[in-house]
Amino acid sequence: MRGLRLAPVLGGALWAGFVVYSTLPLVATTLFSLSRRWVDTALPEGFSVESYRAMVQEAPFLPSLGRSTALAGGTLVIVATLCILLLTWVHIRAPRLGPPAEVISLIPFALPWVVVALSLVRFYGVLYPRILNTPLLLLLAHGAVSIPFMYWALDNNLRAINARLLYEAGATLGARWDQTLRYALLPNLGPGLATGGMLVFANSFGEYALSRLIVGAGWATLPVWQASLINRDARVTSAITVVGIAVAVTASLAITVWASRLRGEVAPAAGRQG
Amino acid sequence: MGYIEIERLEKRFGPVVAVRDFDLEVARDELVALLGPSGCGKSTTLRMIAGLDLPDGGRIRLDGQDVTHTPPHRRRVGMVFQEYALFPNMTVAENIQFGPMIAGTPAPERARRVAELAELTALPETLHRYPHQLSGGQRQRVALARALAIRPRVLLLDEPLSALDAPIRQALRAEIRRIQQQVRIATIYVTHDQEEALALADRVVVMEAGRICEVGMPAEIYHRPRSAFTAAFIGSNNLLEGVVVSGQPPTVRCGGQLLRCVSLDGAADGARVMVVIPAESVQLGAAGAGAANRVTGVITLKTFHGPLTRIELAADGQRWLALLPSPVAAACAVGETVSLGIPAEACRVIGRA
Repeated sequence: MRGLRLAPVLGGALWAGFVVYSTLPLVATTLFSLSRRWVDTALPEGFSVESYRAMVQEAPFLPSLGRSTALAGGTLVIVATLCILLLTWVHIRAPRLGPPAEVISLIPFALPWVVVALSLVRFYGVLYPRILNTPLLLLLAHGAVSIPFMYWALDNNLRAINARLLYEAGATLGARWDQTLRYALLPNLGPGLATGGMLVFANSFGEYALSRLIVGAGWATLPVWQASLINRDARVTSAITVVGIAVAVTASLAITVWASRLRGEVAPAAGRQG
Repeated sequence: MGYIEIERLEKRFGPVVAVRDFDLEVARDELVALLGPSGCGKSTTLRMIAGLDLPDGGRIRLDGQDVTHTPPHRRRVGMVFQEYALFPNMTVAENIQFGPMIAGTPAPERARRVAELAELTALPETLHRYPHQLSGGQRQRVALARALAIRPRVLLLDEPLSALDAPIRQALRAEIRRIQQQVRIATIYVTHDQEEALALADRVVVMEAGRICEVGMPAEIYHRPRSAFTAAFIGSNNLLEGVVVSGQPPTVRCGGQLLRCVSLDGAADGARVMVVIPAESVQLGAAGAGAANRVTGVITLKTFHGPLTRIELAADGQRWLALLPSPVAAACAVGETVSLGIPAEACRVIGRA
């Protein structure tokens, strides 16, 4: 009985610990970016939006923000398309390839990204030098290292809906595989696409090592430009971090809303087909 | 010539032969049940008819057309799965009209078909609900309506009632039979439940280890099984090994017991045979006093099944089963020694042991 009474208290403490532990770095960064002076006090001695004004006035701000957003969006499209097609095929037609595909999908996690970047540069330096230092190579590199985020989210989703059974039901009802994918499988992949999409977008948006080594200052993404400012003005760097997180969170929310609507949009379309 | 014709169908999974030498014809409005234990190849056979698995040998014809290698979406074969397989993102109405929509049926015709099938399967109140808002029985009705919506040439049902509770299963079983007779469609129904197969089917195909063991009308299969496997799998039968000791009158020695039989099925003196005795033919005490065969044994187990009680006895090293009316069985107890009467007409020799 005593344990039962303590359970809500323990749960509350755990929740509070989780929230503080996760958000404290963001709160501190935000406070620092807004601080006028913050040296030997617990909280800033005054607040100002001066660092944000300075950030906006920097010429590279908007282009680098645009590059990072485009890069993260492009990575999301590539990874989502690849994983949807591959995993649907594995689940429906080649379940035996599931275990090796899972292992392969983990490779990017096992390699330091600096090593990935240097390997890509050396490999393409020999094979196809024209692609070196281009945003295309960066996009493909981001895609490669982001696969696990989308792979695992979609794999669980396809397992949960029993994709193979739905495919077979569609086939006996006269649907080709692409019709079943469009009307019966894709609309049910919202949760996996939302989870995987958020992780892929946020990861690509904030990625530094690959961007620095593959395109560097020639096509500076937000994190690359931000790193170049660290020794100049730490408050502006913090402001860029806050803006970057705000963009990533907004994009993640947009992806979640889109994924949750996916289900409702395709079903009536199926009903309207004539 | 049957509407569905299956010739020497064969399927292997690596070294395992799942189905072999499978021959069957099904008439245009017939309901055939494939009955057998798990792993006997009945679902694999159904999947090959649907086109979901390709056979390694043999031929499948539907209405005279060879469809052995036709992809499933071109066969026009409706299938109902054990796990319902409803599309979770679609309402009941959208699920039902999915097949016609894919086939390009105009919207008014689709709506008409949905209404007609909703009526047939008693679903009109649920058309705007999603599958997760339905009970198991309702989901399987939707699956049936969806399969029928494509106007299939053949209807295949793969253990459609296995996931349902007993009362719903019984009600839906009767519904399926009514609907099948109403739409008059060649239907193959896979089940491991003998009661379901016997109640539903025009003919029952008993399968064992990938082969057809026996085909017959439900009453034939139940009362006069022709194989030891069928006798053991269907109904409650006493299945005894014995040796023929005389042809006149037909007599078999089973353990220490001499059994007068109805016939010897062509077996000669000294032949080893199997004798089948339905448990419901075994009589207890005075009721069996005039029977040709008498067995004395000790009751080892009594289980109550409503109107009938199942009794197990040990006699002469053999295990005997008796299904007795419960009021009769109430008079005896476990551990009691009783005398059983078995009419010669109930003892059938079915083949070599």
